[in-house]
Amino acid sequence: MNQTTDQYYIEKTMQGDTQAFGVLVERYQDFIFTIVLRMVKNREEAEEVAQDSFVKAYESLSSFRGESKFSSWLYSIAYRKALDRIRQQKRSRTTPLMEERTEGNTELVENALDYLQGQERSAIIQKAIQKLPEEEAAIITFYYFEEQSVKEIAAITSLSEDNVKIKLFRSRKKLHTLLKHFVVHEITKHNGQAI
Amino acid sequence: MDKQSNTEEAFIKKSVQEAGLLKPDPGFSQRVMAAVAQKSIAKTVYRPLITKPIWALLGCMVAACIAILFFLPTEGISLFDRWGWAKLSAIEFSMPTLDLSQTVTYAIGFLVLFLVQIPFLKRSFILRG
Repeated sequence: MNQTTDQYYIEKTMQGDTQAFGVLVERYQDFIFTIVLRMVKNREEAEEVAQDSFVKAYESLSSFRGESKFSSWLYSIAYRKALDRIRQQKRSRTTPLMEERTEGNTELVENALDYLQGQERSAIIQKAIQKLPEEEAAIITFYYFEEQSVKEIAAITSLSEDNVKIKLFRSRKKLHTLLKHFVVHEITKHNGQAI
Repeated sequence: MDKQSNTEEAFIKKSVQEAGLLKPDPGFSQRVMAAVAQKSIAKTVYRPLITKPIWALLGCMVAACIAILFFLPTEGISLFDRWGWAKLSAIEFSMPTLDLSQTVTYAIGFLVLFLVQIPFLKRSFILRG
């Protein structure tokens, strides 16, 4: 359904109705901002990159041929812009992980997360995703939040499907470890007791 | 995938969805639209295909041609006479001809029409989505 309506606004924009593009901006701004922020790890820069992505999309709208979903096309622009920004800054702020083995811990972490309040829990998950390496943070969001297929993610990121699968596997393990780390820390801080 | 991996996958999916989306500053979309509007103005700025200096040059050339016609005596003078190009017309040659039957001519005509239609059809299918 979104696909059709996106196409409608795309055509309106192409006919010179700039405001029609505003609808597309409103529709995708949160997801684009989230992806970019999880990659560049800085709010101000994320807003700049997200804005550049929309402007770039507007400028190249005539080259969008409808072969893929508009959302996927837009995500690939934002993903590339974020990678360019990271390369420009020549930095990588990922946290080295202590361990990646998670066997038998899932239930424990899940129970611990349930113990926390809704907002607090959401903030901890955000923080954990933010700590993932940039590409993996984006891939995990595409796959688990936006429910994009491996094939679609491969097209967005210009990675091979096998590479996407490997990155997904790794990021899942890392996120699990990070969540465990944050949850234990949070609960210990609040209650003075370990789980 | 084993049971542990399935549990882990379900847990990660639930967590990522629970984290939800982050929101940019409230003025974000206005800023984007302002940038887009600027691009749009820049895009539609009228730029003539033939610039002013070229128009001036063309004007000068036309004026020069008229002036030459008026002021230089050209009556009775032919460049062909001067350079002896008249001899060239004496050379005889024949252009090769291609004889096609009516059926082949129609076939070529329809093929050309078909090829011309392809880009239009492609565009209309893309727009229809």
